[in-house]
Amino acid sequence: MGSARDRANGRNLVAKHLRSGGEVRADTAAAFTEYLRRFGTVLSDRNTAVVTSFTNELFTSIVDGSIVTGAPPLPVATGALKSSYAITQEGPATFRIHSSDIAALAVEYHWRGAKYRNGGPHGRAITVAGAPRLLAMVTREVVG
Amino acid sequence: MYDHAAGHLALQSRAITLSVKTTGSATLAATTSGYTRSAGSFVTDGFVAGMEVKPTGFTDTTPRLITDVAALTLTVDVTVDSLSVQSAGSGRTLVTGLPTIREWQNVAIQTPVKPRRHSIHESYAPATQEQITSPYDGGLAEETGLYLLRWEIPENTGWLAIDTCVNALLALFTPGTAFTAGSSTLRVRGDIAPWASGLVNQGNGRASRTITIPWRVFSRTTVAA
Repeated sequence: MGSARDRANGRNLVAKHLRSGGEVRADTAAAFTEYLRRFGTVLSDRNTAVVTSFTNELFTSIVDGSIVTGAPPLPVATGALKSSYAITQEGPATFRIHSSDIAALAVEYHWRGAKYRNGGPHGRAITVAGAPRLLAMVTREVVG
Repeated sequence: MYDHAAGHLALQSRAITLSVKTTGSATLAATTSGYTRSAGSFVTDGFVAGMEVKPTGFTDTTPRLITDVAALTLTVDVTVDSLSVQSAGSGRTLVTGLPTIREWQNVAIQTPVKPRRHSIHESYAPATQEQITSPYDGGLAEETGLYLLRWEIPENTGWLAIDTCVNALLALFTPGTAFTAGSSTLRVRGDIAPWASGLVNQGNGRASRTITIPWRVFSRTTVAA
Protein backbone atom coordinates (compact mmCIF):
# COMPACT_ATOMS: atom_id res chain seq x y z
CA MET A 1 0.00 0.00 0.00
CA GLY A 2 1.30 3.42 -0.92
CA SER A 3 0.99 6.51 1.22
CA ALA A 4 -2.12 8.71 1.20
CA ARG A 5 -0.20 11.16 -0.95
CA ASP A 6 0.69 8.41 -3.47
CA ARG A 7 -2.92 7.30 -3.70
CA ALA A 8 -4.09 10.88 -4.17
CA ASN A 9 -1.52 11.39 -6.90
CA GLY A 10 -2.74 8.20 -8.61
CA ARG A 11 -6.37 9.38 -8.54
CA ASN A 12 -5.33 12.76 -9.91
CA LEU A 13 -3.48 11.14 -12.81
CA VAL A 14 -6.48 8.93 -13.70
CA ALA A 15 -8.85 11.94 -13.46
CA LYS A 16 -6.55 13.97 -15.70
CA HIS A 17 -6.35 11.09 -18.18
CA LEU A 18 -10.17 10.79 -18.33
CA ARG A 19 -10.70 14.58 -18.60
CA SER A 20 -8.46 14.65 -21.63
CA GLY A 21 -10.68 12.07 -23.36
CA GLY A 22 -8.65 9.03 -22.48
CA GLU A 23 -10.10 5.73 -21.34
CA VAL A 24 -8.94 2.85 -19.20
CA ARG A 25 -9.17 -0.36 -21.22
CA ALA A 26 -10.13 -3.45 -19.26
CA ASP A 27 -7.81 -5.73 -21.24
CA THR A 28 -4.85 -3.41 -20.60
CA ALA A 29 -5.56 -3.37 -16.87
CA ALA A 30 -5.87 -7.15 -16.80
CA ALA A 31 -2.63 -7.57 -18.72
CA PHE A 32 -0.85 -5.22 -16.34
CA THR A 33 -2.21 -7.13 -13.35
CA GLU A 34 -0.98 -10.38 -14.86
CA TYR A 35 2.40 -8.79 -15.55
CA LEU A 36 2.67 -7.73 -11.90
CA ARG A 37 1.66 -11.22 -10.76
CA ARG A 38 4.33 -12.87 -12.92
CA PHE A 39 6.90 -10.29 -11.81
CA GLY A 40 6.06 -11.08 -8.19
CA THR A 41 6.54 -14.80 -8.86
CA VAL A 42 9.95 -14.17 -10.42
CA LEU A 43 11.01 -12.06 -7.42
CA SER A 44 9.74 -14.68 -4.99
CA ASP A 45 11.57 -17.49 -6.82
CA ARG A 46 14.77 -15.49 -6.91
CA ASN A 47 14.46 -14.65 -3.23
CA THR A 48 14.02 -18.33 -2.39
CA ALA A 49 16.97 -19.26 -4.57
CA VAL A 50 19.20 -16.62 -2.93
CA VAL A 51 18.23 -17.64 0.60
CA THR A 52 18.68 -21.36 -0.12
CA SER A 53 21.99 -20.95 -1.94
CA PHE A 54 23.27 -18.52 0.69
CA THR A 55 22.45 -21.00 3.47
CA ASN A 56 24.18 -23.82 1.60
CA GLU A 57 27.26 -21.65 1.00
CA LEU A 58 27.38 -20.69 4.70
CA PHE A 59 27.16 -24.36 5.63
CA THR A 60 29.91 -25.29 3.19
CA SER A 61 32.12 -22.48 4.47
CA ILE A 62 31.76 -23.60 8.09
CA VAL A 63 32.21 -27.31 7.39
CA ASP A 64 34.49 -27.54 4.35
CA GLY A 65 36.04 -24.09 4.34
CA SER A 66 35.69 -21.41 1.67
CA ILE A 67 38.00 -19.38 -0.49
CA VAL A 68 35.37 -16.63 -0.47
CA THR A 69 35.22 -16.19 3.31
CA GLY A 70 38.70 -17.52 4.09
CA ALA A 71 37.28 -19.99 6.61
CA PRO A 72 39.34 -23.15 7.18
CA PRO A 73 37.65 -26.53 6.94
CA LEU A 74 36.77 -28.38 10.12
CA PRO A 75 39.58 -30.69 11.22
CA VAL A 76 38.96 -34.33 10.45
CA ALA A 77 40.04 -37.22 12.66
CA THR A 78 37.12 -39.61 12.44
CA GLY A 79 34.73 -37.44 10.44
CA ALA A 80 32.27 -37.32 13.35
CA LEU A 81 32.55 -33.56 13.78
CA LYS A 82 31.87 -32.81 10.13
CA SER A 83 28.95 -35.19 9.94
CA SER A 84 27.46 -33.69 13.11
CA TYR A 85 26.68 -30.46 11.28
CA ALA A 86 23.23 -30.04 9.75
CA ILE A 87 20.85 -27.41 8.37
CA THR A 88 17.34 -27.15 9.79
CA GLN A 89 14.71 -24.96 8.17
CA GLU A 90 12.79 -23.11 10.86
CA GLY A 91 10.68 -20.77 8.74
CA PRO A 92 10.05 -19.68 5.15
CA ALA A 93 13.39 -17.86 5.05
CA THR A 94 14.94 -18.94 8.33
CA PHE A 95 17.54 -21.67 8.55
CA ARG A 96 19.66 -22.87 11.46
CA ILE A 97 23.10 -24.38 11.00
CA HIS A 98 23.98 -26.48 14.02
CA SER A 99 26.14 -29.28 15.37
CA SER A 100 25.33 -31.98 17.88
CA ASP A 101 28.99 -32.57 18.75
CA ILE A 102 30.45 -30.87 21.85
CA ALA A 103 33.79 -30.85 20.05
CA ALA A 104 32.33 -28.17 17.75
CA LEU A 105 32.62 -25.63 20.57
CA ALA A 106 36.19 -26.65 21.39
CA VAL A 107 37.22 -26.25 17.75
CA GLU A 108 35.27 -23.05 17.09
CA TYR A 109 36.60 -21.30 20.20
CA HIS A 110 40.02 -22.94 20.01
CA TRP A 111 39.97 -24.26 23.58
CA ARG A 112 43.27 -25.32 25.02
CA GLY A 113 44.18 -28.81 23.91
CA ALA A 114 42.46 -28.55 20.52
CA LYS A 115 44.86 -29.77 17.83
CA TYR A 116 44.62 -29.38 14.09
CA ARG A 117 46.58 -31.66 11.82
CA ASN A 118 44.19 -30.51 9.15
CA GLY A 119 41.52 -27.83 9.16
CA GLY A 120 41.41 -25.08 11.75
CA PRO A 121 39.45 -23.15 14.36
CA HIS A 122 37.08 -20.16 14.17
CA GLY A 123 35.39 -21.36 10.96
CA ARG A 124 31.98 -20.09 12.05
CA ALA A 125 33.27 -16.66 13.11
CA ILE A 126 35.26 -16.25 9.89
CA THR A 127 32.19 -17.31 7.91
CA VAL A 128 30.04 -14.71 9.68
CA ALA A 129 32.63 -12.02 8.97
CA GLY A 130 32.77 -13.09 5.31
CA ALA A 131 29.01 -13.46 4.90
CA PRO A 132 28.59 -10.23 2.89
CA ARG A 133 31.05 -11.58 0.29
CA LEU A 134 29.18 -14.87 0.13
CA LEU A 135 25.84 -13.10 -0.25
CA ALA A 136 27.21 -10.93 -3.05
CA MET A 137 28.54 -14.00 -4.86
CA VAL A 138 25.29 -15.94 -4.48
CA THR A 139 23.20 -12.97 -5.61
CA ARG A 140 25.35 -12.54 -8.73
CA GLU A 141 24.96 -16.24 -9.52
CA VAL A 142 21.19 -16.28 -9.01
CA VAL A 143 20.27 -12.94 -10.55
CA GLY A 144 22.95 -12.97 -13.21
CA MET B 1 51.37 -4.42 1.33
CA TYR B 2 49.67 -4.83 4.68
CA ASP B 3 52.06 -5.80 7.46
CA HIS B 4 50.31 -8.59 9.38
CA ALA B 5 52.88 -8.55 12.17
CA ALA B 6 52.31 -4.82 12.73
CA GLY B 7 48.54 -5.24 12.64
CA HIS B 8 48.62 -8.16 15.06
CA LEU B 9 50.87 -6.26 17.43
CA ALA B 10 48.65 -3.16 17.29
CA LEU B 11 45.54 -5.15 18.19
CA GLN B 12 47.35 -6.96 20.99
CA SER B 13 48.77 -3.71 22.37
CA ARG B 14 45.28 -2.23 22.46
CA ALA B 15 43.91 -5.18 24.41
CA ILE B 16 46.70 -4.90 26.96
CA THR B 17 45.59 -1.34 27.82
CA LEU B 18 42.26 -2.63 29.14
CA SER B 19 41.18 -1.22 32.49
CA VAL B 20 37.80 -2.53 33.56
CA LYS B 21 37.65 -1.14 37.11
CA THR B 22 40.19 0.64 39.29
CA THR B 23 40.47 2.27 42.68
CA GLY B 24 42.79 4.86 41.20
CA SER B 25 45.65 5.92 43.45
CA ALA B 26 44.35 5.36 46.98
CA THR B 27 45.36 4.58 50.54
CA LEU B 28 44.91 0.83 50.88
CA ALA B 29 45.94 -1.94 53.25
CA ALA B 30 46.27 -5.70 52.78
CA THR B 31 44.95 -8.28 55.25
CA THR B 32 45.16 -12.06 55.17
CA SER B 33 41.83 -12.19 53.34
CA GLY B 34 41.85 -9.12 51.13
CA TYR B 35 42.18 -5.38 50.98
CA THR B 36 40.76 -2.56 53.09
CA ARG B 37 40.39 1.18 52.84
CA SER B 38 39.16 3.87 55.23
CA ALA B 39 37.79 6.23 52.59
CA GLY B 40 36.08 5.75 49.24
CA SER B 41 34.22 2.59 48.25
CA PHE B 42 35.09 -0.58 46.38
CA VAL B 43 31.39 -0.89 45.55
CA THR B 44 31.28 2.57 44.00
CA ASP B 45 34.48 1.80 42.08
CA GLY B 46 32.51 -0.99 40.37
CA PHE B 47 34.26 -4.11 41.60
CA VAL B 48 32.10 -7.24 41.77
CA ALA B 49 32.72 -10.77 42.97
CA GLY B 50 34.23 -12.93 40.25
CA MET B 51 36.55 -10.25 38.88
CA GLU B 52 40.29 -10.65 39.18
CA VAL B 53 42.12 -7.76 40.81
CA LYS B 54 45.77 -6.87 40.42
CA PRO B 55 47.41 -4.81 43.18
CA THR B 56 50.18 -2.30 42.60
CA GLY B 57 52.20 -0.48 45.25
CA PHE B 58 52.04 -3.51 47.56
CA THR B 59 54.85 -5.93 48.34
CA ASP B 60 52.65 -8.77 47.10
CA THR B 61 51.31 -7.97 43.62
CA THR B 62 49.82 -11.37 42.75
CA PRO B 63 46.41 -10.97 41.06
CA ARG B 64 43.56 -12.66 42.91
CA LEU B 65 39.93 -13.53 42.40
CA ILE B 66 37.45 -11.28 44.22
CA THR B 67 35.03 -13.29 46.36
CA ASP B 68 33.12 -10.48 48.09
CA VAL B 69 32.84 -6.72 47.82
CA ALA B 70 31.87 -4.23 50.53
CA ALA B 71 32.43 -0.49 50.62
CA LEU B 72 35.61 -0.66 52.69
CA THR B 73 36.59 -4.31 52.27
CA LEU B 74 37.51 -6.33 49.21
CA THR B 75 37.70 -10.05 49.98
CA VAL B 76 39.83 -12.16 47.65
CA ASP B 77 40.54 -15.85 47.14
CA VAL B 78 43.59 -16.90 49.18
CA THR B 79 43.12 -20.64 48.96
CA VAL B 80 46.06 -21.04 46.56
CA ASP B 81 48.28 -18.03 47.21
CA SER B 82 48.24 -16.61 50.75
CA LEU B 83 48.18 -12.81 51.00
CA SER B 84 50.84 -10.89 52.88
CA VAL B 85 49.54 -8.43 55.48
CA GLN B 86 50.57 -4.85 54.84
CA SER B 87 49.51 -1.74 56.73
CA ALA B 88 47.78 1.14 54.99
CA GLY B 89 49.82 3.10 52.52
CA SER B 90 49.08 5.72 49.92
CA GLY B 91 49.71 5.64 46.17
CA ARG B 92 48.40 2.08 45.81
CA THR B 93 45.93 0.78 43.28
CA LEU B 94 43.75 -2.22 42.67
CA VAL B 95 42.90 -2.76 39.03
CA THR B 96 40.80 -5.22 37.08
CA GLY B 97 42.26 -5.32 33.61
CA LEU B 98 43.28 -7.88 31.01
CA PRO B 99 44.15 -11.09 32.89
CA THR B 100 47.85 -11.45 33.50
CA ILE B 101 47.78 -15.13 32.56
CA ARG B 102 48.00 -14.65 28.81
CA GLU B 103 48.29 -17.17 26.04
CA TRP B 104 49.42 -15.28 22.98
CA GLN B 105 49.16 -17.10 19.69
CA ASN B 106 51.72 -19.88 19.34
CA VAL B 107 53.59 -18.70 22.43
CA ALA B 108 53.95 -20.99 25.41
CA ILE B 109 51.68 -19.65 28.13
CA GLN B 110 53.72 -17.47 30.55
CA THR B 111 52.01 -18.73 33.68
CA PRO B 112 50.13 -22.03 33.78
CA VAL B 113 46.38 -21.51 33.97
CA LYS B 114 45.34 -21.73 37.61
CA PRO B 115 41.91 -22.93 38.72
CA ARG B 116 41.11 -19.74 40.66
CA ARG B 117 42.45 -17.22 38.16
CA HIS B 118 41.27 -15.55 34.97
CA SER B 119 43.17 -16.09 31.73
CA ILE B 120 43.12 -14.70 28.19
CA HIS B 121 43.81 -16.65 24.99
CA GLU B 122 44.47 -14.99 21.67
CA SER B 123 43.99 -15.88 18.00
CA TYR B 124 44.81 -13.75 14.96
CA ALA B 125 43.08 -15.09 11.86
CA PRO B 126 43.60 -13.46 8.44
CA ALA B 127 40.70 -14.41 6.17
CA THR B 128 40.38 -12.73 2.76
CA GLN B 129 42.36 -10.60 0.38
CA GLU B 130 40.97 -8.98 -2.76
CA GLN B 131 42.49 -6.69 -5.34
CA ILE B 132 39.81 -4.03 -5.75
CA THR B 133 41.42 -1.49 -8.08
CA SER B 134 43.89 -1.79 -10.93
CA PRO B 135 46.73 -1.93 -11.78
CA TYR B 136 48.01 -4.99 -9.98
CA ASP B 137 51.19 -3.14 -9.14
CA GLY B 138 50.15 -0.18 -7.03
CA GLY B 139 46.44 -0.94 -6.99
CA LEU B 140 44.35 -1.11 -3.88
CA ALA B 141 43.89 -4.37 -2.03
CA GLU B 142 41.39 -5.10 0.71
CA GLU B 143 42.26 -7.60 3.42
CA THR B 144 39.99 -8.80 6.18
CA GLY B 145 40.38 -11.05 9.16
CA LEU B 146 39.55 -11.58 12.79
CA TYR B 147 41.21 -10.93 16.11
CA LEU B 148 39.81 -13.21 18.78
CA LEU B 149 40.25 -13.14 22.53
CA ARG B 150 38.83 -15.91 24.68
CA TRP B 151 38.41 -14.77 28.28
CA GLU B 152 38.36 -17.68 30.72
CA ILE B 153 37.15 -17.55 34.30
CA PRO B 154 36.68 -20.20 36.97
CA GLU B 155 33.32 -21.94 36.88
CA ASN B 156 30.70 -20.93 39.43
CA THR B 157 31.82 -17.31 39.59
CA GLY B 158 28.63 -15.96 38.04
CA TRP B 159 28.06 -13.86 34.96
CA LEU B 160 28.28 -10.28 36.20
CA ALA B 161 32.07 -10.13 36.43
CA ILE B 162 32.78 -11.68 33.03
CA ASP B 163 30.04 -9.67 31.32
CA THR B 164 31.46 -6.44 32.75
CA CYS B 165 34.96 -7.37 31.61
CA VAL B 166 33.80 -8.35 28.12
CA ASN B 167 31.85 -5.11 27.73
CA ALA B 168 34.93 -3.11 28.64
CA LEU B 169 37.03 -5.06 26.15
CA LEU B 170 34.48 -4.55 23.36
CA ALA B 171 34.54 -0.82 24.14
CA LEU B 172 38.22 -0.77 23.14
CA PHE B 173 37.33 -2.11 19.69
CA THR B 174 34.25 -0.18 18.61
CA PRO B 175 33.55 -0.09 14.86
CA GLY B 176 35.82 2.33 13.06
CA THR B 177 38.60 2.18 15.64
CA ALA B 178 41.81 2.68 13.67
CA PHE B 179 45.26 1.21 14.26
CA THR B 180 48.49 2.04 12.52
CA ALA B 181 49.89 -1.15 11.01
CA GLY B 182 53.11 -0.30 9.22
CA SER B 183 52.18 1.94 6.30
CA SER B 184 48.54 0.86 6.40
CA THR B 185 45.61 1.60 8.67
CA LEU B 186 43.74 -1.32 10.16
CA ARG B 187 40.14 -0.56 11.10
CA VAL B 188 37.60 -2.44 13.16
CA ARG B 189 34.76 -3.30 10.80
CA GLY B 190 31.30 -1.83 11.15
CA ASP B 191 29.35 -3.88 8.59
CA ILE B 192 30.16 -6.93 10.69
CA ALA B 193 30.93 -5.33 14.04
CA PRO B 194 32.72 -6.98 16.98
CA TRP B 195 30.66 -9.40 19.02
CA ALA B 196 31.03 -11.64 22.04
CA SER B 197 29.87 -15.21 22.42
CA GLY B 198 27.63 -16.32 25.23
CA LEU B 199 29.18 -17.72 28.38
CA VAL B 200 30.21 -21.31 27.72
CA ASN B 201 30.98 -23.77 30.49
CA GLN B 202 33.88 -25.73 29.08
CA GLY B 203 33.46 -28.74 31.36
CA ASN B 204 36.99 -28.49 32.72
CA GLY B 205 36.33 -26.16 35.62
CA ARG B 206 36.51 -23.14 33.34
CA ALA B 207 33.90 -20.98 31.64
CA SER B 208 34.63 -18.57 28.82
CA ARG B 209 33.37 -15.89 26.48
CA THR B 210 35.06 -15.27 23.15
CA ILE B 211 35.32 -11.75 21.76
CA THR B 212 35.53 -11.62 17.98
CA ILE B 213 36.86 -8.47 16.35
CA PRO B 214 36.53 -8.34 12.55
CA TRP B 215 39.06 -6.00 10.92
CA ARG B 216 39.69 -4.59 7.46
CA VAL B 217 42.79 -3.06 5.87
CA PHE B 218 43.21 -1.29 2.55
CA SER B 219 46.75 -1.26 1.21
CA ARG B 220 48.67 -0.75 -2.01
CA THR B 221 49.91 -3.93 -3.62
CA THR B 222 53.46 -4.34 -4.80
CA VAL B 223 54.28 -6.83 -7.53
CA ALA B 224 57.77 -8.20 -6.99
CA ALA B 225 60.11 -7.63 -9.91
